[in-house]
Amino acid sequence: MKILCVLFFLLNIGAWTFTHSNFKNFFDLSSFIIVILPLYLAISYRHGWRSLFNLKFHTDVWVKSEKEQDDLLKTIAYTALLTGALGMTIGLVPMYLNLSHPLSFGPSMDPFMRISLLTSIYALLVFLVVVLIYFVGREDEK
Amino acid sequence: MIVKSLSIIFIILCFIATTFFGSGPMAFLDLPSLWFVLVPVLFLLWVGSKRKDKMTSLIKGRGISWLELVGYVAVILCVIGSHMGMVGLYENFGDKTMVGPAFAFLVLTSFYGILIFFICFLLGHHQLKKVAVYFVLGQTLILVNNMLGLALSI
Repeated sequence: MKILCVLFFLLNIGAWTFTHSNFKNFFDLSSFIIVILPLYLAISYRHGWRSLFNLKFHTDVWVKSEKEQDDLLKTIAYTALLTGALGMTIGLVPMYLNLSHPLSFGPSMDPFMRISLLTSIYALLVFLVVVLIYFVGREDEK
Repeated sequence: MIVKSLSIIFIILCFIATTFFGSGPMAFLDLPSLWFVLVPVLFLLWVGSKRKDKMTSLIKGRGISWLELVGYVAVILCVIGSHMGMVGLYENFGDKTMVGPAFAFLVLTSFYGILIFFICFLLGHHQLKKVAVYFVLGQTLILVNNMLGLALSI
C-alpha cells in the first residue's frame, strides 16, 4: 500500500506536468544537487555509515529495526525541508542583487529564480514521499 | 456528530456564498488545480476507507489520525502546486496569455489545499500542529510575494 500510494502521487504529479506544462521547465541539475547531496551527507553523518561509497548500506537500511527506519525517515524529511528552504534563499539572493530597476522578468526565467523554485519543489516532493512512507500501511506491518 | 456536520456544511456554504459577491463561483473552479490537489486527496480518502481502523482513530504508533494525514498531505500538495505555478508563471512572463492560467493554478492549488486541510481539521478530533500552521502561513507569504511581484511588473 505504501508503494502504491507513493507511485500514485508521483505519477499524478508527473501526468499533470506532462499535460499542463513543459516537462523540461522542471529539470535542473544544480537544484537537484543542492537538495540531494546534503540529504545523502546528512544520512551518512547521522546514521554513522563508515563509507559513503559503500553500496551495502543501501540494502541494509531497510532491514534494520523499526526505530532506526523511523529515525532515517525523519532525517530525510527534515533535511529535505531545510535544504529546500536554503536552496530557495540561495536562488533569491543573487537574483535580487542582479535585478535592474524597474522590476522585469523578461521572456524566460532568471536562472537563479529557477534554482530557487526547483530546489523547493524537489525538497517538498522528497518530504511528501517520506510522509507517505512514514504514515501509510502501518497496520500491515508486524 | 449531526451538529458538527451541519456546522461544516454551513461554513462551506458561507464560502460559496462569498464567492457570489465577487467574480462568481466559476472563477474558483480550475480543472488543473483540482486534478493536482483533489485527485490524490480522494485517493488517500479511498485508502483510508479500506483500512480496518476508523479515519479519526490514530495510525498505529504515529500519533495522528488518517484524516489528519489527509489534511497535511493537502497542505504539502498546495505548496508544491504553488511552486509549480510560479515556475509556469515566471517562465512565460512575457506571454500575457499564459500568465493568467499559471497564476490561477498558483492561487487555486493553495486555496484547495488549505480548504481541504481546514475541513479535515474540523472533521477530525485532533489538535492543530505547529508545523501545519507554519506551512499555511508560509503559503500565504508566497501568495502575497507573488501578487507583489506581479503588481510591480505591470
